[in-house]
Amino acid sequence: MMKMEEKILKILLNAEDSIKIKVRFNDTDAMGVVHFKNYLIYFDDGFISFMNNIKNPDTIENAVRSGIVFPVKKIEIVYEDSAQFGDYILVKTRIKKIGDKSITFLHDLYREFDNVLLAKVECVRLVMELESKEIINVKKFFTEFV
Amino acid sequence: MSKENEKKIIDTLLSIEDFKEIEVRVDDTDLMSVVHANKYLNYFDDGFISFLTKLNMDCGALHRQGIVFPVRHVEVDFINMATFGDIIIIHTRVLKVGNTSITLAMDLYKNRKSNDSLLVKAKVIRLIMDMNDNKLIKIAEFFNDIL
Repeated sequence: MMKMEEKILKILLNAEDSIKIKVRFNDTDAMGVVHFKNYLIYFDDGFISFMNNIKNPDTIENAVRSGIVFPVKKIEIVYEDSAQFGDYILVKTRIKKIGDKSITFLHDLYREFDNVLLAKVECVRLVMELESKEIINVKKFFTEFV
Repeated sequence: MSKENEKKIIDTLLSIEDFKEIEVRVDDTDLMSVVHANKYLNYFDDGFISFLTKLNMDCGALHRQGIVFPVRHVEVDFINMATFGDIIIIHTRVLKVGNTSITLAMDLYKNRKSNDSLLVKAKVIRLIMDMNDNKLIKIAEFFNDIL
């Protein structure tokens, strides 16, 4: 069991995901650029894509349907540049750290056409059972999920 | 601007705090029945605009002149969850005034301000930019009139 867990953790820590998102008209504000809150929606997409691309037979959508959710505990975002309507954004996702109670994701967001870094994100998530509000052990969850 | 005046402006900014109340909308919540993380960033805007309004600044008019307040950095701790029907109290104060950046502490409470109703603790760094020339405006100069 221990060996299995170590193997899965290694797979997770080496996994990388990239997803392309098109900036919608209503993502922009009167400044003509993507409003800063929308980066949270973009890296939510990055998180979903990451979870569905790590080798597993199940999808995160099914996990959510069965009552497992991934609330955000902490975020830190550094905004380096801005994106505009018509831009494509690449969200690159990997895991920084897996603890017992939380998992820390790193998301780097790039503007696709010139590869300029737009934002760097560190996001700590929990794994929670929606109905009981019980926090689930992250390593145990992934041993079953992956 | 003299060093003395600059210090006065910074001290004044550091002494001001603002409370803004907002009501959670249905579409602020997600399938967990709680306010989604991204919505808190909207609330930070609400708190900051309320803070500026308290200083007799008209954000709409400033915007028409091309003066905007881009966010450079956010750090957010999510402590408790809010849901539809809750009132959120946004407590805004200035933590630090740099040359061209201003750091705000934003504490959000559910329904009333107390230790056990704290929802979110955040630090937001903003710039002040003139979109006409894309240049950053010095914070102390921008707030020159508050004295």
